[in-house]
Amino acid sequence: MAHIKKATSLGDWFEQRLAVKKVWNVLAGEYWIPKNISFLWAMGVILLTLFILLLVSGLMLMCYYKPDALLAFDSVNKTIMQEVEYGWLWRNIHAVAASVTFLIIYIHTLTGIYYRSYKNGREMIWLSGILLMVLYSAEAFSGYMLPWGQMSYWAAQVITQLFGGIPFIGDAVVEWIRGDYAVSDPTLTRFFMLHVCLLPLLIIVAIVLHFYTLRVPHVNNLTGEEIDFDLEGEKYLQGDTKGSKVIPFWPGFLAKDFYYVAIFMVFFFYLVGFNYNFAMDPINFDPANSLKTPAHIYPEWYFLWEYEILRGFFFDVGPLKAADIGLIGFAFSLVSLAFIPWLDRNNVVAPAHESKGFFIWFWVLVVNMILLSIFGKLPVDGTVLGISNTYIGFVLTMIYMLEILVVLPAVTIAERKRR
Amino acid sequence: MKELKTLLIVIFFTLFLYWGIEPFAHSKLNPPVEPANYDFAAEDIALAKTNLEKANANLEKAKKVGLDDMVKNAQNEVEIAKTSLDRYSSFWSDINAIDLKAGDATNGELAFQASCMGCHSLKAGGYEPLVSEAEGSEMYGVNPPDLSSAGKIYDDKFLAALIKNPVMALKVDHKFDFEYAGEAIHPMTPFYGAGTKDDLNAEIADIVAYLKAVAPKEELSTKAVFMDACSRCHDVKYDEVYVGGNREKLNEYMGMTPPDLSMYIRSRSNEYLHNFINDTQKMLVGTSMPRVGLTKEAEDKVIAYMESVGDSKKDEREKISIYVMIYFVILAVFAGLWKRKIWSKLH
Repeated sequence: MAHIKKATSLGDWFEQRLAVKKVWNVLAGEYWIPKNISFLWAMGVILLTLFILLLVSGLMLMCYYKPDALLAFDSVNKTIMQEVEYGWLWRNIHAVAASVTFLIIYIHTLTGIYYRSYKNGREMIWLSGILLMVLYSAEAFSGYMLPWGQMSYWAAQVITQLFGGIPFIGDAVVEWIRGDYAVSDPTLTRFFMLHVCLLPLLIIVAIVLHFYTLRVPHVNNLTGEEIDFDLEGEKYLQGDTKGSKVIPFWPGFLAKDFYYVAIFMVFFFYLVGFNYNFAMDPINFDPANSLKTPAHIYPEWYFLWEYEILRGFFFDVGPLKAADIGLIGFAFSLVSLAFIPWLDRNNVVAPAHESKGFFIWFWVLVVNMILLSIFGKLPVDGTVLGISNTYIGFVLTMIYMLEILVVLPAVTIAERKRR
Repeated sequence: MKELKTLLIVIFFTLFLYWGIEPFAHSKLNPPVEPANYDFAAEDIALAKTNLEKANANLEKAKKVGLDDMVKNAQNEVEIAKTSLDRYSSFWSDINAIDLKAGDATNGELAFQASCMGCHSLKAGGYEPLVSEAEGSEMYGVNPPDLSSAGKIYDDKFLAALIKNPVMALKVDHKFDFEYAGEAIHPMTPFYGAGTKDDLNAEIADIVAYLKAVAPKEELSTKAVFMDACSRCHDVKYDEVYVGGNREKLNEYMGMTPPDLSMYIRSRSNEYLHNFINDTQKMLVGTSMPRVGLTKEAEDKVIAYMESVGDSKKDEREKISIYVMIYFVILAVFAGLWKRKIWSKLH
């Protein structure tokens, strides 16, 4: 046990018991971040800010929300939105933050891919990030059910039905998830449990894991330069702050991030006050009605690309039904990005613009995902530029699959052989 | 500068995505329609023409596919659309022949006594209801409205059209026999003349003049217009507005429970509500909701009322959001200055 002396100050009292300085240095004071970064490196802190907003606004909403099929809709749209003082504010913050979180997650992920930050020791950062993305998806889906509007109900109906595609036990699994033969009150209550308890706990654990995975390999930088963080950190501590290639997490990195977060919040509150329909679909302001299917059922925007892959296959192949192939494609798309560190067959950590093949691959992927999202919302029976949406959706789906499974390895192998 | 370029790329792709899933996809999900037109004659004929064009286009498509049943159905649709266009053209030219300016309110009151007061009350003119709300809805499905403010909130020409042929004016000819001959007869009968004048059209002009003369001169509140025009069928439970009378009879008459309108300002857009109330069949083909013939001014009030119920915190939301945005702008300035201070030692 440590030898405890009479404390000289309050700080010293804690220092002797908790080694506060040491912890601070490990977490922030001497946690080194490369100096050569752009605003794209602020996405993590913005995501953390959004998570705090979600947590706080979620707790506020839970004070009045009723997870009961008969009460849920009115508890949200009447009690929270109209009766509780500033209830609308918490609700709009919660809904908009959920939606914007995905926008930032996509930017964050694509930044990681662009700078190829997932290789050479950073694989665990990447995997814990993808885990977070999947957990956030489950969190968003379960939360979307809670207002018990038309889209809540029918999205739940469609998505839970997907598990029916599992061989042999599918029907039983669907019933087990719903707690009933159809989506109904027990479904709402258990998704409430998932949304406010189990999933947030897992997300918090995953966030801690994600931060921890960063500690050893450190953050990548704009050029992909391999920095000796101990050496550069030592340089910084000795007073050569200008010559050192690194900055401490506090105050160097966070000073920059606070600035970006403040700017981001201006945009965020513009959405909260004036443009929230993209986060709260108008159809969901009709109460859930199990007898009346909405004219169009589509998920929130951030699931659209996966949804389009789900319905991209419209023909049976041998014994496999179209719906089953779609389901396999959908399941793959959910986790597909996790394999990128191993599908990239080259060991280079460098921004995409330094390699022509990879650069083209990257932008095709981005445009493909955006187009998948757009066609995920369009009705299947329509046409764009005279071509049936079904065919376009299928082609886009195939492009996605090929991009991930074939083009990425091919491009990176060619790249490796050239050097 | 390099960061600015990166930022522009991020913004460009974000906007591209936004454009695709919001305005573009929505224009495909809800194809645009002609804007609401409060000249109901022009509105009805334009819609009938559009429907005929669509039916013809569908027939062309069906012929290309070449399935007999499809072609037969499409031909049938074309016939229906043609009949509808003919019917509305002749109906409105009939109505246009009525000289509303010549209406005489004094004689209108006599005609009202002879032809209308059997079913309609008119409290403003001293005509109290003869039956209760419950009895009214049991007899007719929907309790016939009190006409005190009809001359104010409904369009004159529409009122004349309604008196002459309710089924056509209300656009429920898909549900009721418009010639008043078959089994499905609309509870309000066409005007057969009150015996005060020889000319039917002159009597109609008189009744309209009378309704306008007794209508309130002062501005009506948004809620008053809503109560008058909508609340005999629709609940607004968030404002504790509930339909009176016999609900079962109402549901039976309408074919379903007319929806509660508390959140309709959010679930339907402002524009949709205008287009729908203006011409119900344009937005929801086959709906049993009649086109009620509100003037633009009255319709604005109905929608303003719905907004005051379904989006009651709009003013507060916009004000607070502006304040919060200003707060973060100021914070950004200070954060920027602090960043500059910290980084002056780093660069």
